Amino acid sequence: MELHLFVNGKEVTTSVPENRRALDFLRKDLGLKSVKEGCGEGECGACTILLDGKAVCSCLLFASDLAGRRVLTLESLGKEGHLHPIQQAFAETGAVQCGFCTPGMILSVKSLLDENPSPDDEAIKKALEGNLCRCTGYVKIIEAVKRAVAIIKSQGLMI
Amino acid sequence: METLHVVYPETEQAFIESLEERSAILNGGTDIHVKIRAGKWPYTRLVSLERVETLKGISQEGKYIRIRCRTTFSDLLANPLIAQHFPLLYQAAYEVGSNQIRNRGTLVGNIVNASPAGDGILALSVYDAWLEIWSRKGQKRLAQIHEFILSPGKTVLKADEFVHSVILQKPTKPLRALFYKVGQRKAMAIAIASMGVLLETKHDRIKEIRIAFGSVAPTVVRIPEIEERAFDQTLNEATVESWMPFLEKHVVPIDDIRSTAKYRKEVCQRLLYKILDL
Amino acid sequence: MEKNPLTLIGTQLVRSDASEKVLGAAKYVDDLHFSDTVYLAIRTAEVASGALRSIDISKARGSHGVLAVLTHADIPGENQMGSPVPDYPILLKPGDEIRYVGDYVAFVVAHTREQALRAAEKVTVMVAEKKPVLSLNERIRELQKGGDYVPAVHQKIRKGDSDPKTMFDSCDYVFEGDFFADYQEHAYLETQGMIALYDQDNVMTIYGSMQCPYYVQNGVARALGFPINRIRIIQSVTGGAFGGKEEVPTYFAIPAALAAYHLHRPVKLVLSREEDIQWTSKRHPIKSRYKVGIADYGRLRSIQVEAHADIGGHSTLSPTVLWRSSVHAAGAYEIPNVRVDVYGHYTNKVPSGAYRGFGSPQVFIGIEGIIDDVADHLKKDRLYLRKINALEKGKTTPTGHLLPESVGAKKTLEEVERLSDWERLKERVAQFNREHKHLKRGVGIAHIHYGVALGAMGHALDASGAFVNVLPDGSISVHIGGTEMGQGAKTVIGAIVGEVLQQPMEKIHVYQTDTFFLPDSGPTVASRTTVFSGNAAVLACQELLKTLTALYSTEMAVPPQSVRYTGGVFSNTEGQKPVGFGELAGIALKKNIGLCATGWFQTPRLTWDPENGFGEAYVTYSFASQIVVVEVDCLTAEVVVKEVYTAHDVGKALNPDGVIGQIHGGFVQGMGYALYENLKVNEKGKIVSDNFNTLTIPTIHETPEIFKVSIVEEPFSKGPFGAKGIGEPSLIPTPAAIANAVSDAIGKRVREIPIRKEYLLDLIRTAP
Repeated sequence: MELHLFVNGKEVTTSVPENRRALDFLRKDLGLKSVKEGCGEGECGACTILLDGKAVCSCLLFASDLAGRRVLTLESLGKEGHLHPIQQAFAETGAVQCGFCTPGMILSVKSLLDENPSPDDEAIKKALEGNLCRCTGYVKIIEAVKRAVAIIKSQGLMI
Repeated sequence: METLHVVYPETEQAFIESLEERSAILNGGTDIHVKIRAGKWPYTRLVSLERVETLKGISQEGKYIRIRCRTTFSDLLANPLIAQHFPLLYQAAYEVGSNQIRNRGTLVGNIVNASPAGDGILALSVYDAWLEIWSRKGQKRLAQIHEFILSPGKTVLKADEFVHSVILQKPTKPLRALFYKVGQRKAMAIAIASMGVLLETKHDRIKEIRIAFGSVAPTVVRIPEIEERAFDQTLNEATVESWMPFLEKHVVPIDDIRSTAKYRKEVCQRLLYKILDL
Repeated sequence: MEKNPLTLIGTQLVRSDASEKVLGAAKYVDDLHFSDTVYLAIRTAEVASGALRSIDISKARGSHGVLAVLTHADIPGENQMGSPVPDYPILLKPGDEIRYVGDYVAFVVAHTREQALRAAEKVTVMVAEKKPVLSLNERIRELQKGGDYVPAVHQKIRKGDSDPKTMFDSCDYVFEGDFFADYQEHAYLETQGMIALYDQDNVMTIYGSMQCPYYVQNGVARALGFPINRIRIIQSVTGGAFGGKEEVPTYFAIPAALAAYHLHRPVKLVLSREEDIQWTSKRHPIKSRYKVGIADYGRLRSIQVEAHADIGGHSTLSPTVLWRSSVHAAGAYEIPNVRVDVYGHYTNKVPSGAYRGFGSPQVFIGIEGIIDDVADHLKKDRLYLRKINALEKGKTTPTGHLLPESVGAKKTLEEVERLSDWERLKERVAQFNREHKHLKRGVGIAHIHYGVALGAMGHALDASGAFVNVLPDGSISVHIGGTEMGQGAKTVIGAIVGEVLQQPMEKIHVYQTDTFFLPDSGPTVASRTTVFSGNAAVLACQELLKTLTALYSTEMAVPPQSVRYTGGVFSNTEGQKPVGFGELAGIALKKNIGLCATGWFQTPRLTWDPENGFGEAYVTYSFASQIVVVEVDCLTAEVVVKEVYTAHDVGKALNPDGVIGQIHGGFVQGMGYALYENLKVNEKGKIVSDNFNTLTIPTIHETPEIFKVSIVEEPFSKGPFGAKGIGEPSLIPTPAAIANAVSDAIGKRVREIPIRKEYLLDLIRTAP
């Protein structure tokens, strides 16, 4: 199946088997390794991507579902030495341990803050309930979101 | 496994023409992908609603609200009509899966999946929702949610039909709503047992009550005996306790991976006390 | 040399791997790719018990894309991966006994993973099935019948009067109780995975997700019949482990290595979540019976514990896990008379193994439950009762270990009392309960100790190395034998090196563990890495400083005893003739002076009598006390944790943020065990809750809203800067504290973990 889409701001035209999962397409065909597979059935959120700005599990999509849409993976956010405020907040707060859930978690935070720049605790939890973390107990993740909000505000940044 | 074919019609007409005997409709995919992965998916052809933009959305038609089939749970939560007129549907949508699942999963997909644990089905049940069913030949018919679902995974839909939309009548009076789901954990849970209640009282007397349970019978069940008898009863513990025997006939749960029949039965009775806090 | 003020240790550090992880650039095993890679699938027995009659691989071999189907005949070395007990063949051969559904029958290698999986289904296996033993109770009854049944494991502790006939004679009160703690699945987010390359130098190189590379190295050498020097293990970035990647990764490295050996191509095996849950070890289910005697208004005098563990189809690490259970079974208290017997029984289920806490959380629920019973009976405060029985410097543990130092037990109790505002907390909860009919809150306490490192039973493995190399630009590379698996080992070791060498973290690079750099440094388990790899790093750095000091002394004509090193600068005693670390390193290297050193830390000796189960069990102990507040919905038996107050004696918090991160994470994992995670095994011995929709680990919503931590620092003189371990003690008190809190809320003793709703509703219904 012919596929035309925008991945991390770049136009991609390619061909994929029609039953290829979006997860495999992004990870294996496009080499976007930040998209992780933790469960394969939409429970853990490690494969979270942003589809037209909304957080979705790429294991529950066909690659062909992405046609004509804007896909963001964590690769698009920051660069070494120039972290995105959310990434900076996660690093500084200690919201990262093993790091396997981190890409999906950060993308879920991004979609939250894009819609709601000052989320309360309940909004943070609702946005992140689909991203399982087995290491941190989530305490520092909640702290990191609040820190990201503060960084963004203090820098007058648009994310 | 045979190769799975997925087709992506872009208009309603093209979609309708794509429907075939051996095809299934992909509408969100949050359940179908799980089944495909588990090797439990019998169909080899999927017709996706992904690109049919006109089948998305919520509209007001007089005293009715129409929810088209591609409408996701996130769409429901974002629409003020739902929060205002159908708080129980709002609450149920709020507790479906996770943000990622709500962004993809659709109300109609949840209905057609016909799980007794379907949160959306429970909500539609207490609102006596209608489903507008379209066929390939262009026929339309209406079915009530209670008649639509036959048993786990089975509905009255024929091979050439699909659910075009959900039709809800706006309640004419304010009904207090309670959606309560007992799951294995607080969030991201599939119901072990769930209860939906709509209630109107005047000076502690019940004027109307609608009550349904999920995950405790082959389909979501309403309890007509309670609904009939409750009129003008005083809402208190004694009343609620007097209702318990009426559950017997409808609440017929099974043991499964998530819980036991015994627990489910008992918890349904005990959930009735939650109505007192409404 | 004089002591400098600490500049890194104890300060707020950013994890050294944070940047690559927040960028999504960290390479986990499945992110590594080698060209020509082929993929492996495992065909398992699929029946829980019986004898293997025959294997037919012809259909699988002809299946599309298949390159090889390997069976027992294809193992060049020993067909055995059981260690220490040789009860675990790699691949079953006809005639062999099947011990659980996941026993291996064949390995299928194909161009793609899907092809390999499809072909694996085509391997035909004939089995003479036997009725499996799936219930621990069945084994316990066999033992009690007194026939010739011998349990696979028996560990014991005997102290003081341990004769069950007399040991309770001098007690004023005797309390008894039965407890049960079920399985727990590790549920690390990254499933197990391996890549094997039969590489240059005729070496089998393996990249993989693991916590103990040396176990993998030894296991693969044995299977291939290679000398150990031809096996190289490189740990890839590891997405969580929690004990689940201790012995188990060997069972996946071996198939990959065998296939790479035969095909001379890179072989990748990354498990699906379902495979991972079905085939990897779990926390041991343990049934225990406690009998505790009290004298003198609440002092513990005698304790008898009999515990039975389900070890599954193979013994793997069970003897060691259950030894730890025995050492901790009597709790963190001073008790003169102790008798503990812990038995391990084979069943036809998944092998139980290492899991954070290593057999101790299951027994702490027993002793901590009974302590509450004692307090309630004597009408004494539950915290007070723990205080009067707590261990102190100069007292002996239940194994008879006289504690010379680093006993922060009582301080942790005092800290949770302060943090929680104990008296007011109890009143707050009572007030809540007066105001609510169906919602009831409860307060629970648990107090624990935890032996750091491998202890008397693991003496032979308890040493670790570190290699520190200073490069011409003054940057420092560090190799350690311990591993980073998310807990922060790289950061804490970097901080130790930086502190001793007085260099900033940016200059230090701690590498993923590679067995080619250091001798066998034992496993990264038992909360030992900070102490063992840390001490080894200190020793290596001290060696380097010695070399640099001597060089400075020669170069600057300053007597060695008057060389000062402060703030990364060498000088004489007056602070003159300053030369920076980097500059001096440059000079050294130009003069052909090597600036690399290996530190090797061996465990201090312990005196232990294995016959009688008595003596010094571990080099030191971490202590913790925890108070939790739960809310029970008495209509539905749903439980949520509202508040946590927890205090941990870690000796010295080298990286306080890291310590707190461990405490948060350990708590929530322990909470999952106590409340939400039900592992279900069906009547055929197969785990059916094999993904996260049925095995429900905590989400962000379950995290308690109030979470207060206090770090107690009672330095351990043999730890780096005084440190002890925290990895496991972070989890251990939680199941007991929650069980006690739920008991408090409903007014009836909870005796099972996880506290299933079905069980709890029965308790609530029958509560007074």
